[in-house]
Amino acid sequence: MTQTSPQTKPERRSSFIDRNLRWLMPGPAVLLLFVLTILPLIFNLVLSTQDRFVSAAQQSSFVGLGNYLDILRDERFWNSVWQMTKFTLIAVPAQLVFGLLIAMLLNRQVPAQGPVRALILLPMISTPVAIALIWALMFNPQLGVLNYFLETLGLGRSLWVADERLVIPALALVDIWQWTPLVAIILLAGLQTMPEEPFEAARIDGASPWQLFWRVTWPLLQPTLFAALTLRLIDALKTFDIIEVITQGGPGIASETLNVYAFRAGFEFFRVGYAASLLTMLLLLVTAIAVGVNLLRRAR
Amino acid sequence: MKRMFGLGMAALLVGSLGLAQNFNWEQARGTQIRVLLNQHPWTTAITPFLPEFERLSGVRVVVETFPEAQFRNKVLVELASGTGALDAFMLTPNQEGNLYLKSGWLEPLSSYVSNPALTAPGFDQADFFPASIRAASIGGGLVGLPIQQETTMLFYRKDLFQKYNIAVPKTFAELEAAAKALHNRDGVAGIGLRGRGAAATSQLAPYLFGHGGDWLSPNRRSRFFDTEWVNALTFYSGLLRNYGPAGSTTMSWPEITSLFAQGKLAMFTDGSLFKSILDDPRTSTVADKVGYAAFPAGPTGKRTPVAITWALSMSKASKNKTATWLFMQWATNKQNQLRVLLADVPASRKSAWNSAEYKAKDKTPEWSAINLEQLEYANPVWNPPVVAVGEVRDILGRAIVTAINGGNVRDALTRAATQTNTVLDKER
Amino acid sequence: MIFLRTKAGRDRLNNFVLNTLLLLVLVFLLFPFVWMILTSLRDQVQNTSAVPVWWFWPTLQNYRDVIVGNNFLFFTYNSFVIAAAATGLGLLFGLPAAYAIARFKLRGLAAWILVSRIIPYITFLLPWFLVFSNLRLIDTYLALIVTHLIITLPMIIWVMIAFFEDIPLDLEEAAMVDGMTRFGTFLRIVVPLVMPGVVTASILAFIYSWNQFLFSLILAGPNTKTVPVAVFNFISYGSINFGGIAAAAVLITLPVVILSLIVQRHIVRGLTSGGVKG
Repeated sequence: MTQTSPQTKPERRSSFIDRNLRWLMPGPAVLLLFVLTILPLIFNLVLSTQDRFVSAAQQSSFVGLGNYLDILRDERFWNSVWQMTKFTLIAVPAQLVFGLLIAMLLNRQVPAQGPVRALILLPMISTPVAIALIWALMFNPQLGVLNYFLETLGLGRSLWVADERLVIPALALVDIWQWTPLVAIILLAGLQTMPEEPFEAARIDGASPWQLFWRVTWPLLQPTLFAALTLRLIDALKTFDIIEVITQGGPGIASETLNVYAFRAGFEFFRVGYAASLLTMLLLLVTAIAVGVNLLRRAR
Repeated sequence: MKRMFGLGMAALLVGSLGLAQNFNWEQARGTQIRVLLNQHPWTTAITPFLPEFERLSGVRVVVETFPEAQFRNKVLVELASGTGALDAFMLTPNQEGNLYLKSGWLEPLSSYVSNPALTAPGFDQADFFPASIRAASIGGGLVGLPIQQETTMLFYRKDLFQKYNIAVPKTFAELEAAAKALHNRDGVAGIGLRGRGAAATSQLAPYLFGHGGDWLSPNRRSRFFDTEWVNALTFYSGLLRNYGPAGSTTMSWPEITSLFAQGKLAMFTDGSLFKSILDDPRTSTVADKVGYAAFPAGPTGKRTPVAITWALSMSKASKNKTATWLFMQWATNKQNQLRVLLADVPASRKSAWNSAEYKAKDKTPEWSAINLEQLEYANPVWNPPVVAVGEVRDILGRAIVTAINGGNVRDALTRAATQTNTVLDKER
Repeated sequence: MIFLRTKAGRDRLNNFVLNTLLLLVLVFLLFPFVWMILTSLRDQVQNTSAVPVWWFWPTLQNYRDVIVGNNFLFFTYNSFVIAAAATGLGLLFGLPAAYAIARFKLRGLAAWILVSRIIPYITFLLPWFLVFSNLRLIDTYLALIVTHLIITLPMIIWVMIAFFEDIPLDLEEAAMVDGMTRFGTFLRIVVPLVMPGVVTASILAFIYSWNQFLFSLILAGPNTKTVPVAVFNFISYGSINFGGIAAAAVLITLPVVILSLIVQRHIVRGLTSGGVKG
């Protein structure tokens, strides 16, 4: 494809570069990411086969898969998987449903279109620590504004994140607030890049708006929906900042997801080996789910 | 300037005037030390005076502060790295002391104290409360210089107790009766106590001792399934469930002191340090209504507050040990302990409390008297005496939350005991 | 209700209902920000009163406390240096990589770069900390910039793939017929064409680097502490300082909001391109 003449030296050099661009261009980035992610990952895998405390106060020893066997018997691990699952199962479907609704609301002539779209983005670009602190203030059972609203509406006060049963839904609410906009604009992009013809054809057949949605929009939107689903599943399973800032996994361990548990085990209980095994489990789960969703998408 | 300050110092160190001038404060001139501090009133009180030390010694002090949870993580991670980038740090010896000492991260300090070339004559170790020195001595040697010495006490609303004619509780039974009588009166909850899992451990401790219980048996097994434990946790969680504020399982001291400061609690028991938040009109709406009382007596008939000590410790990997030691002894000297006490931080030196200046300026003599009296008998073991203290606190914290939520106390404690024994097995 | 009988009338009603719904969505999404700003302008007594105080004489004391008492400008500067450098390096490494992936259809590589998104960040922390401590790089910009590349680099690559794919191949071939090398074409023809994409990718990378909390918590020190960590420090000993926390939150969020508002159109494009084509 490259048409370099063999006469001049500089061009020959660049032809070498050109011929190998496929490796040379991504090379540095790949190398960098390898050093920054894969090496620590390998180190982490090594750690996970050791019963290692962060200090020398307890002996380190090679335990093979011992940590993993312990994990399977650890009820706290199962609790954290369950909390993580609950959180994800509440947050992600809600984000998809509301995201789709908002995308459809935006996919028309909207007054002040530019500012509206910009404002909608605010939750997802704001610093998580900052917004988590604000939500924590709003959730406060005695002084928070959310309870004031509930009382004004004639509903009783709620304990919000102080209630073992409500804490995961309440945290999921923050996640929904934060990430529905992302789903909405991804789906909006999907809606706006749809071909016109199928809609025309359906309209000529006299389809109602409802039928139009289910027969044309919905099938055409599938790839985009799956993309948004994958993205959100991966991130929801790993949610850390908002849980750590608002509840630190409490009350008790009622909102302790696997990521938060691993952080506790590593940086509070100093059981580095065990924490590494927990993180490996988390990675396996996230990967399995990401792969699973993709298989589902292909099967369709 | 330096000379004048030296003279001023010397004048303060009563009885050692001549010697103080001979001590070489400048023996580490030109070095720099790095210090990690908890965001604690002591830190706030001492920080403005740091330039004084830098002028005196020629040592530059770089201070980093973090909120408590991050602070503890940060210190651990730094020490574990073994790089020696950290020189001194705040430590609650009863929490991380065992772990840090066994890991070989703490510099033993006894030889420094006894070396006249390193320690200024007016240092006077005997001036520290025996309880503070005991707390800061692990494995037989001193591993920290005490900077703060608090005890558990009862904080209550004088106006409400007066209005409803309730006597200040002297026993656990009276405490419960008062909580019951005041609960939901005038918009307050009867009593506040820490309920947030691990953070509640240290405040459950005095109730445990009051019921005659203890952490471990002599052969280092958990005693959590003892009847004393069941009684203590039943009492503690019952107070919170029946007369506590809504959502107590998420509350540690910041939430509880906030509630009290906003006039939404009739009383609470916690560290005496928190007075400074409650009697400050800028942060408290009940500043002029706070009453202080000794921790009440349990069924054993004894008053069993715990004594909580913060200390300043040196990293064994430090490369500037002389400079660090100079800083530590300066920061805990008589003058600075008086300064922090005047800023409402319960000091760990007797001389500060007994000084004429403090006595003249003391706005709450009853608080001071209680603190001093309680130090005579307070129990310094406010955490389970294990190496993996974070993990055991967490195990116990879950039992506490279960109990507050109305779960079966005996079952929760039995489970906690089993888990704790698994942890203890690894420490053998 | 006469207008309901006409199509235009029905449309107008429909639009009214839909716009009202949209307004409700906006209220829900923006309320926490409104509350944050109100809280930051009230004093502690107003913030802790049983009934929210909606009308009050605003005070700037909280901001003064945060900025003056907490050296906030210095932390902002740190955050800025780190995010800017991580973004710049991310572009340097990421643009060629994204171009190669788009042009040579390196699907496997694209997927592999996505993998870095799947790994929980906590996994990296302990190894990094041990390495950086041994290299004496804790509390240096270098350590933070390098680690923040893990956020900026994949993000830039991912956003840019879509932009590069949109450049018609003919254009490059024409340039190469004129005697330009392929790399020269990339630098002189392609990159200028994807400038909107570069701006978008940079701003997104900058924002997410700015927001990062965990890395700085462990790897930063007094000389390099970033704003999110500084805000956490502002949760001071003593009562929960509602106004101070809110003022600090406003101050961290402000630069990010301003940046994103300036380029909002591109941001939408950047965020969606990765998602849609992924």
